[in-house]
Amino acid sequence: MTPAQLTIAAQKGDAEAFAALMEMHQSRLYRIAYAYLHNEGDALEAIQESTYRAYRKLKKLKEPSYFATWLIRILLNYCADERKRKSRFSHVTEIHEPSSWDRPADPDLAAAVSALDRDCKQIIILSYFEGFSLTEVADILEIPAGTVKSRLHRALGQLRDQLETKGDVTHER
Amino acid sequence: MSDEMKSFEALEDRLSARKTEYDAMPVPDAAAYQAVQAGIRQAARKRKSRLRWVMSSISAAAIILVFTGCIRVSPAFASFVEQLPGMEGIVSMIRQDKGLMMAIDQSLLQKVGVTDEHDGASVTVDSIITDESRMVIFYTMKGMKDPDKGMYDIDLLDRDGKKLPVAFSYSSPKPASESGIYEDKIDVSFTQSLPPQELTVVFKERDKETNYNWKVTFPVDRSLTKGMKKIIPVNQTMTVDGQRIHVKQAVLYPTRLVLDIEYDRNNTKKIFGIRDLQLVDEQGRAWRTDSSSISGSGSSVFFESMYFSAPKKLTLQGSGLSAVDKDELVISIDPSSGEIQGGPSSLKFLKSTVQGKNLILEFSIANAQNATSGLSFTNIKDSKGNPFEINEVGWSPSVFEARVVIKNGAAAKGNLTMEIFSYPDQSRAPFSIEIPVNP
Repeated sequence: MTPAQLTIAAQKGDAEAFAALMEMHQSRLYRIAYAYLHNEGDALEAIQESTYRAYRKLKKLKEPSYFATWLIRILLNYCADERKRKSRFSHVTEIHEPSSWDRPADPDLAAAVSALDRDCKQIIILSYFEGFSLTEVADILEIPAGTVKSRLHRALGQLRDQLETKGDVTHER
Repeated sequence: MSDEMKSFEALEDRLSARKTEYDAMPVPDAAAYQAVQAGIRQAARKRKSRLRWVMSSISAAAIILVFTGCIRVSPAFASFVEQLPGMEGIVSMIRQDKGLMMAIDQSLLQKVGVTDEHDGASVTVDSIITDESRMVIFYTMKGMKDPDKGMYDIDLLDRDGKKLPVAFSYSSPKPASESGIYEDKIDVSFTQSLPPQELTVVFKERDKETNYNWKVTFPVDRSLTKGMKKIIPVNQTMTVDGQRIHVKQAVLYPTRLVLDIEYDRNNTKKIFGIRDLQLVDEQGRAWRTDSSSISGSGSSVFFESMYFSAPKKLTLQGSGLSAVDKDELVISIDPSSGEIQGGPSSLKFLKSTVQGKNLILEFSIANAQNATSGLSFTNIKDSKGNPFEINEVGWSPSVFEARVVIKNGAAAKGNLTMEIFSYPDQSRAPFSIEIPVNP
């Protein structure tokens, strides 16, 4: 079955079709969530919660071929809420080898991306890391392509400013 | 090319290098798959989170369950235990209790596999894990009528058919991966006795017309955890929100840690519970509590067990108290009008209903977000001085509503006088003290 056919079957109540769809997307969801939440436990929690929300709201998805963009939108919304909530709890134990993502070759850039505001970070993850086109990003975030462009510009500007400030500080030492 | 263009280009190069790291990010496929499955199960359930509490009439101690909603185990560890044969269901049930998972990992789970089957339905006790302080019974229901609607009561009997002097908790069983099969656990606390050598679990259908019973009897191997109890003396006093609390000792069992605390008798408030109580080890790992047993002068708080992780250092932390001023403890209520005299101002009466011989009182409590305990009363008397007991309490954390069932309360005359025994309210006052693990 094609993803769209799976989506239609899932909308009719076929839980296995839904599980198959989710399996196709789980790695991407994990990476996006990890880039946002910075640890495995929270990323997995994000997958579980997004699965839950997607399954419950599945019937409201009008165009089956938009499943992927719709799912990523659900995940991004969860991640944004979660970051607000996270200020209260922060105890998750990690048991895994640090990856190159966690030990970046260019720590300044990694930190600058990490420090971006919510809208800008979404744009960088989706356009640069996930490699979505301008129109796809516009679909995921439900904003006009023009807005994507201007946010992208703003995100790059923020990154450049942050990295430059850091550079100046280094020079003064 | 302008300088601005150049700097953007350099930035894009750095971003694309970062993309390589992004693409190489390892994905824990098994754990991600499990998270998806858990999300689907969670959606399929769609149940209201009302838990039933059962209090033994024999036991003077009451078990107060805590809804923290934030306790969790590292999914990496969960998926590790899950790979052991037959563990998937159990892991989803005890995911929030890493101490119990470690105990299971140490081969302390006893296989039972005893089934009672009749009238097209069966109940199987799959396995148990037990030590002197706690027993968790894992069971499966097959072909039962509406198991997820909480249509079953549970009794725990000893060899002579007598009810065990224990407090235990269970909720409606949850649908398993196969359809028509439900699974869950019963969490039993032994405060006055040791686990019996032979245990009978009775599942009683609430339907008055059929009134079917399923009975499962099995032996309990008490030797697996024999001699594993460790006592850690603490003997420290802390002051939280102006109230003095004596931390006496911690008793470490494979299935949990029991912290014995006593409240100073000169405190101005009666303390029902401590908010966000947790033990944090030297690695920053938090060992949490989900229940406690409350006695007159103090309380035994049950934590996840760190028995098998052998911490070098433990810090007890909390964020405040659930307490009521001692002069607001006694309320007088008119069950017909719902008028309340005395008591905290956040307590509001909702309604009273007579059910058979029992009287059900429902209340709402303002500002009870993240409540760590439910509402319960003691010393209940009617206007003629006849005493009454509570046989069930319930707390709906989503709507801050409490339900109290007074046994034979339908016969009560006039106003009821009741003393608050536990209250879902709290103050903010963070604290922490060291627990000497290696004295």
